[in-house]
Amino acid sequence: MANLGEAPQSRGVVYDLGYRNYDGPRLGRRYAIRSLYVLSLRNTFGLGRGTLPKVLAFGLALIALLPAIFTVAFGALAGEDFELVEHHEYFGFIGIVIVLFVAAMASDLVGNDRRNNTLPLYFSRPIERDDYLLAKIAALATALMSLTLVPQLLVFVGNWLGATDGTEWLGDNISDIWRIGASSTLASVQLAVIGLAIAMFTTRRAFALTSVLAALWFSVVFTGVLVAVLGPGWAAVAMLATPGYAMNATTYVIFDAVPARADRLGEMADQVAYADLPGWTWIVALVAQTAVALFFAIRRYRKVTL
Amino acid sequence: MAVNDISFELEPGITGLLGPNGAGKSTLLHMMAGLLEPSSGEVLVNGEPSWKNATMYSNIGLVPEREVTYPFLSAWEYALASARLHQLPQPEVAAQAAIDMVELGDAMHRKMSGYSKGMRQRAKIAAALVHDPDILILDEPFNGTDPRQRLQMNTMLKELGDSGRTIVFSSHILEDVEDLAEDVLVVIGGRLGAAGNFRQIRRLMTSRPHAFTIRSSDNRALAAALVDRPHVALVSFDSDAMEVQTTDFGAFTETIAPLVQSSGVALHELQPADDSLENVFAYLVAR
Amino acid sequence: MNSVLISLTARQLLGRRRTLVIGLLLALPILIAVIYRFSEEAGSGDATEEVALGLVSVMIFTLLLPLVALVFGTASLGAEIEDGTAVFLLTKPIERWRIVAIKVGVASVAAALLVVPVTMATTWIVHESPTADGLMAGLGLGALVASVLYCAAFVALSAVTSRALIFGLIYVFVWETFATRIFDSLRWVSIREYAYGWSDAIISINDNGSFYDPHLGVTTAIIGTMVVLAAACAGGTRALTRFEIGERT
Repeated sequence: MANLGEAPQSRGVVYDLGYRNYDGPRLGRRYAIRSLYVLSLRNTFGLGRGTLPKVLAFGLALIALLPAIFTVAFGALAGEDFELVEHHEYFGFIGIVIVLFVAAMASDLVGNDRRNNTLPLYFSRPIERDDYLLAKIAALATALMSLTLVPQLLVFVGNWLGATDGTEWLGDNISDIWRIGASSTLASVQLAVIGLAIAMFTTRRAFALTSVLAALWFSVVFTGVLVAVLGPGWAAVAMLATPGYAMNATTYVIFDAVPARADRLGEMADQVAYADLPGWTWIVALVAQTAVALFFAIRRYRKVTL
Repeated sequence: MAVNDISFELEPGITGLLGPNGAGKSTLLHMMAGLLEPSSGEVLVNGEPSWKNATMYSNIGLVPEREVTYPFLSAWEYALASARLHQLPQPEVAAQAAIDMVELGDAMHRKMSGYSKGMRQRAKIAAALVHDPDILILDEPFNGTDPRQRLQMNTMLKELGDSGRTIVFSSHILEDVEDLAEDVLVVIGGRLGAAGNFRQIRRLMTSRPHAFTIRSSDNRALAAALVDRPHVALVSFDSDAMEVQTTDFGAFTETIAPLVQSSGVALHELQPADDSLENVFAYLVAR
Repeated sequence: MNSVLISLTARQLLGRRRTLVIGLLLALPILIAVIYRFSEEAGSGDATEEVALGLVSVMIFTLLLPLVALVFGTASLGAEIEDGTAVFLLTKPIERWRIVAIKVGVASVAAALLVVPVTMATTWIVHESPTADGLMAGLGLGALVASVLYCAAFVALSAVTSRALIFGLIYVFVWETFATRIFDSLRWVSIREYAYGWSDAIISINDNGSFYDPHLGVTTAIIGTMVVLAAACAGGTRALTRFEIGERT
């Protein structure tokens, strides 16, 4: 830029920054929700963020996948139907990994927007408060599928490829596909809603993390001790109220694999068998827990201050 | 916000760092305070790099925009803790002096969780001043202050600047910068939009018409002579004054005197109408 | 200067909600121990030892102790960074190692003061003769060592990342609890095993089934302890020296 008539003692400079304005078309509410969903889903896996969130998300997903990988690998080596973990046991086996994933992601998904004060930014767009919540739940549930659905499918495919007669094996086990789909979807949605509902009540990441962990994991340990001390009668109520129990028991029910009534109460599967409740009660419990959490989450976000 | 390709020197006195929100003001200040590492180039404080240099803080006071007060402390405890961490020989005396300087004496023994934003701001300043630093860096110091506190902060910063300290503060409020600082750095979009004395900057912005307010014995006669000139773009009349816009600052200032003389009008007042920082700023940001 | 840092850290740590929640959590093993003591199963010699060790190692060593240390360790430095008050400390002419050492010290003392008595009390309530075989003292020593090591590791971790808590949880629950059970040799890199190694120096029970089986000798445990402490202090200091303000990942 030319400096006309500059005084000799001048010590000022002006630079040309060349700005432009946006004048393209503007898309509506559904597009905005979808954008928020995609953004949140990408954020859970650390895409578009630093290295650490990526390591965290993909690391946990990988750990959740390890039992499946081992099952398939050993199956291939042994050359027959080898099962380290069976489908109905899988969530119980990697339970802590799933819970840690939910805790970490839930506290980030809703917490970051409150900590960084980006909520006003969203709510000044064509997005309602319920839409925001919906997008976040959908994003977390989708992300969770990579820890629930993907390993299960891998085990299925691995077993199929390892079977001596593939066609016959497939004929016998094809019904597992819908069981895998149903159990992972139910578990993912349940944990996503409960995790987010709890994480919404505090802006502090540490408190959110610990609360989600306490609600989803410590509750399982505590209920387990309670069942052992009190016996299965009254403790059945505690089991129905505990997300971890509802999730695993629902999976047993879906795979039609509730173990026979056991004498000892050590494992969760034994405790579920001991409670001796009809299968549908567990599914109802899971849905009810999800609904209650959703109710509180919606109420919370309708009056959250920006 | 990333900043790039910024190079300047600060001298004793007050410098205002001006820019819209998110322009990179805090980033610049944090680099000066050694809390961010420049990915290229360097930031020197008294000739020493600011990055990874804890001893430098004996000469620097930082008042960040973010909350850095412990809610469970009182302003007195906070300033005293700061004095002790600076290992001052007489921490109580220094803390009391700092509290007095920000006029927080009445509330100094109350917990800061109960303070207003302006009071917390002053507590932060007290803690940053307690070791009498040569350089004071303030990020948005006028946030949350009421008009009286604003005035008081103005006076305080002026005194500190007059005593030979180097003070740099950021603001997106033009009046604050205009009142306090002759020198400004205008940061826009992470780059330096302009630097130096803001009246000089205004003069350099030749592509935008300059406006002058003129009062004379016969405005209309003078106007008739003025519109004849190619560099005069617009003349408008007020009750007893007129405003003239010119596209060429240099030509206008050179021709106005002979013109007045030849048209036989008595000139009462000739004053740049838009030489305020606000106009400079609006111009730079809108470009 | 040191006393200011110590008192600031302590007041920060022992804030309202946090202390209450941790107190409640730590009451659980004592509560269960009391319930057990008054139930009919108590009494037969072998059972008490298994239950005592089971309760202490499952409830305390694998769940509550790491959690308390994790909360205190990350709160002592991490919460200050998250709240922004770390900037107050870091803009003072103080050596960074001193800040790290004091944060580790205060967090360890706070965690140990809560966890060691709870460990010893639980053992004492459940066991018939708690001082036999050096059980109470050994578990107490283990809890002390574990408190210090976990706190040191988690203070350092929270200097490195704002996600210290989740990475700490993954370390404790996935690595120490899960992976070491599958791959035995991983126990060489486990704070819990170092703590058990110290306990083993005092406790003279050699075999107690699944609950308590220290894998490392005392010497290994001491070396491991030193390595963890040195690495935590060096790593934490390095991270604080390079501390950058703003949104960390």
